[in-house]
Amino acid sequence: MSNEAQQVAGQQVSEALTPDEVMRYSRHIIMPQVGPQGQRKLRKAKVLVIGAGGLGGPVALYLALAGVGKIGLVEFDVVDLSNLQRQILHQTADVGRPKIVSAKEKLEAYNPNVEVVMHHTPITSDNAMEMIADYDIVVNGADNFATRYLVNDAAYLSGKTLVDGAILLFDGQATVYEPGQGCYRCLYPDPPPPGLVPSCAEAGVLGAITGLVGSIQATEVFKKILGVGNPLVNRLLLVDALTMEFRTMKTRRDPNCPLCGDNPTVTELIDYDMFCGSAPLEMPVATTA
Amino acid sequence: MSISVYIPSPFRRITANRENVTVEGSTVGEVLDAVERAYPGFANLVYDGEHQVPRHINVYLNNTEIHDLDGVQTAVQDGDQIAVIPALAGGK
Repeated sequence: MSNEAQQVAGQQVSEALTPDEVMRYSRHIIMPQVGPQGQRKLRKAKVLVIGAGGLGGPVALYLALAGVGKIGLVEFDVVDLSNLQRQILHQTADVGRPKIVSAKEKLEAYNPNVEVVMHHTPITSDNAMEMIADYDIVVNGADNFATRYLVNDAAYLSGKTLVDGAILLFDGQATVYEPGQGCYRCLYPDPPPPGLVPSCAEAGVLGAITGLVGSIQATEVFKKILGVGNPLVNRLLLVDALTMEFRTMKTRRDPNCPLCGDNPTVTELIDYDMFCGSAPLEMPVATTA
Repeated sequence: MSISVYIPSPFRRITANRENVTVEGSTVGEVLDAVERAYPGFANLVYDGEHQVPRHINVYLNNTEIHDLDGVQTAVQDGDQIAVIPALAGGK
């Protein structure tokens, strides 16, 4: 075999699933919508998860279990006892430890084949674009409106798919934003006045809702990577866990949207604390839901 | 017209924990006002100080947001469902 052929063969062999991977992902590989080719797509994918808490936890976990090759986590908070009711990547022994370290350890224990990159910093207007650049898909697990608008804008300006999710009490929302087909600002052009919409700390959240919505987000990531199914683009999925009813509302790109509309006025990242009318914190803001 | 209004869980403290309330009205605005009469305090959740629906709340007629229709002037028919859906931020 010539050197060139050996090199090509080497590349093909290196791209092939290992026997361990074939066994580990066998329940994916036998599915016609995945197969070996789909599993290799998952392995090549790079997904950034904003927050390693309530929503980010199940998202990152299912990404790792599925063999998504590179999982970035953005998280600055430390594990608090009150997190353990719902944040599945953290355990009692982790209280007081950085969430991102705790999360990375758990994900790598589940699947040592995946690369977990820690972005141990708040996501800000100064670092968001650079942070997002290296990833294919962004998943939102933020816990405040300022970060949601920031992540939305950064994902759109970077040309990245944004898989969004939010929770409170017994309710959840999930959707997918593709650049050019609407964004978070199209859905919610203005944030609520500060203090009007309670946080989970103020109103509460059923712990299992994070798994419900986080799993939906992870599923949408897989559909995007594999190119299968009907993504939640231009659809807002509403979850009411009390009645266990799911509703789907139509969403659309607003031609007047300041970010993705016909005449954009937001062409770079802004001061989102000011936009949301919230005072900047002295300490970095935790981004976990 | 008899219209069913879906109330998300963050707003149910106003509607005695009911997830659906049925009221009479011929437009979206009339329906929302009818909910306020039945459950005082509801208007404070869905309207701003100028009696406009703020942009962090979406009101859907069936599954279409009313800004894509005629706003609160959108006519409703028997059997329609209105859903009032606020933005959620998740939480710590």
